[in-house]
Amino acid sequence: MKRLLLLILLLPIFMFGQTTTVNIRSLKTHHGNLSGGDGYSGNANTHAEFDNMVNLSSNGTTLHVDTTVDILSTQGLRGNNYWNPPRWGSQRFAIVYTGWFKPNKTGNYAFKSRTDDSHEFMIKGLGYTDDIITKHYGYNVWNTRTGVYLDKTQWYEFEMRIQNYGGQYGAQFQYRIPNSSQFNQLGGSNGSQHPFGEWSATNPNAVPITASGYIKGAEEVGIAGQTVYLKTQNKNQVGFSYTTQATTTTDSNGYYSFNTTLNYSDYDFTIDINPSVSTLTTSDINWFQDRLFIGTFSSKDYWRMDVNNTGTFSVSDIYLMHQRRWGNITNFIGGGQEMWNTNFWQQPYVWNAVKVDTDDKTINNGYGIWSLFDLANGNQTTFYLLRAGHKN
Amino acid sequence: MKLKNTFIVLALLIAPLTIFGQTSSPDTTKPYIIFDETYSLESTSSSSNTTFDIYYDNTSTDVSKGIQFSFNYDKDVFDEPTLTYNNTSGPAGYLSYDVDSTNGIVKVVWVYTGASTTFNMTAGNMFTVNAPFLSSYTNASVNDVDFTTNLTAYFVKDDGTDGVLGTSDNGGNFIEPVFDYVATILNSSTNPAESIDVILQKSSDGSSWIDVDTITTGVDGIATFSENLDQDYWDTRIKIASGLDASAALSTADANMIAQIVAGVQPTSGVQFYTANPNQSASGITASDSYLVFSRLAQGTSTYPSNDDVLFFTEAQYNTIFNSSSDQSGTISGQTEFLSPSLNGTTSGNFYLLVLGDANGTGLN
Repeated sequence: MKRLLLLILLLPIFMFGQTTTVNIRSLKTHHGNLSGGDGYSGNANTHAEFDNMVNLSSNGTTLHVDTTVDILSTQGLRGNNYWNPPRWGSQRFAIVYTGWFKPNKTGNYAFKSRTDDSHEFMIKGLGYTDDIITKHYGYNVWNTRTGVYLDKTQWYEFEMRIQNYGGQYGAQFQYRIPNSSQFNQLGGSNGSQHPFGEWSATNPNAVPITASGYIKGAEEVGIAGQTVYLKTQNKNQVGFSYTTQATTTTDSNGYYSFNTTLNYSDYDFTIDINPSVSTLTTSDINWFQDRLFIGTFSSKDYWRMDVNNTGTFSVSDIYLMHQRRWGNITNFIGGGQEMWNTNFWQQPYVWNAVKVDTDDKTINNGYGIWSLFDLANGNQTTFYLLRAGHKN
Repeated sequence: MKLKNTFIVLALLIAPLTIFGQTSSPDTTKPYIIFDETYSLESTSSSSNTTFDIYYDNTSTDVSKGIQFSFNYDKDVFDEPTLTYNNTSGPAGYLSYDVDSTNGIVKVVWVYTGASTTFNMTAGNMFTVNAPFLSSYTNASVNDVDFTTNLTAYFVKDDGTDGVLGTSDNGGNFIEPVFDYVATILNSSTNPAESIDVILQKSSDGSSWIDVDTITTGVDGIATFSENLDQDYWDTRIKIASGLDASAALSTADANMIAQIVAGVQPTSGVQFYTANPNQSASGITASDSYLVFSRLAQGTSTYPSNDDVLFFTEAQYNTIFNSSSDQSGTISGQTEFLSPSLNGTTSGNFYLLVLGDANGTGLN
């Protein structure tokens, strides 16, 4: 009998196996006292004032903690005196729940909320003013909205703001599933009998930005230890102002990879490299010296071997490499490039030509140092470096 | 005294040029890579390879940090050669070279690899080329080495750019090992034969002989040869042509002495069985021999009617004749045209001649 009871209790979990984790941001507001903050004072009485109150840029608002919680727990939107979110104190605080949910049923939902003090419950993208479904500026007044159509196949981004300026604090949040007459307390027993749906702290709709590839040298052998940057800017932003989101270095095979949680829907991204010319080696220089005996040179040699930029290959180039190796010179004479690169994904025709042709292509300088990727087309490339005095 | 000192100074100045003249820069316009006039070829049977040096010199004001050049070699004589750097500019240098054995081309690059910024290459026999003979090579003419343009001759200037490296080819000819030989032509052990043309000959097959050089003996009867001639390949011999005019050695005293021998007035020495028998008759020394000499003197002719004036002998033959009291002409007839035994492996030899009719042994002087 006990086993049957346990099975009945666990059945919803087994049936749905649904996650209920959401983000929570706990803020100290009003400087932690009765002072007002930038653009707000007392209880939030407008959406704009609430925006200011939960904005970390507003003087008077500071972060207590950013974390995740189970929305069905007492740290979540559990009713009234049970509500016990992480907070710096009992007054002058604000709690902001954010995340995504996917309802279990399709149809018209009703929502009602009541907090101490002000609150706003928002579902984004449904077309409501300021995305607000329910709200109350003040305290302990229920606000209800019906006819909120939700599709069980979609994830919806939500935000629930609650603030307590003074006195008691509390929060209640209820929902009514389609074709039902009864509201369910989120996290309450009746809510468990009619679970609302699945919750997520991260955007399930997001397409994470990932990228990988190689940095290889003239001999198409990977170069280790090269720094690679993943940079982003907001989607559809005009101009180029990418900022670094992640940095890595190539492994012994010249391989790099990025696996981010950044949403490709939100960002354009680029992979940048900042290749460096390492110390020249005697073995490389000797290899170049022996190369003087061949009759025909590669286009690659005009970058890596003709270090005195005379357009020819001779013992003088070899001598200068040794002088560079010893540090007697910091730059090769002639003012030519000491590093040239291209990325194969963006300009495959460049490398395909350079690696087999024999003419001097050093006039084609300066391109290929960056890559503007588009996941619709691919996110992998190989950068090829030609470095003065380096065989590979 | 001052004049003497001037000569000494001049001599000292000229001496190095005389000794090293083929391995130094021809001018002061640029650095040079240099082939010497001649290089010694190894013997065909030697276990060693032919080696020759390539020289570097720089009397210009340019500083040189490295060089590149190319040269050819006789690919039909030599197998693939190797090069070594002789550390003339110190150990901080890297030599690489490439041999194209199909075309007989060698490309050479040497560069300074050290840390100094003031380095300048030093003159000297910078490279030694070690060239083994092809297994098929016996002995034939060897082409000289020449600088080529397969790898443009450059030197590295102080600023790291190319300068034109001069190539000075003083010949680069290969010569066979020196064969030194001293031939002494004698009338007797104490009487050298003067003004005899001695021909040194060589042959690769023992039947076909080539004249190498002709030396005329001096008052000491000596002809000294010093020739580039590989004894391991060539057979060598001395030749003295027939037809020598020995009239000067003949006199009435000779004719009288022959007559006295015929008359039994004086005994016949071993040598006189030849010199007192100018008609070379099998019947030995007779009045006809005395007459032949008198007749020649009277008529002033320079030859005998049917015999040469001179017979040649090896030293062993001569000693046998000299030490004999009987006529040896039956076994040792002598040569009118002298062809010596092989000279290979020897450095000197004595050869004898006897003048027919010269009974008193005046000889050719």
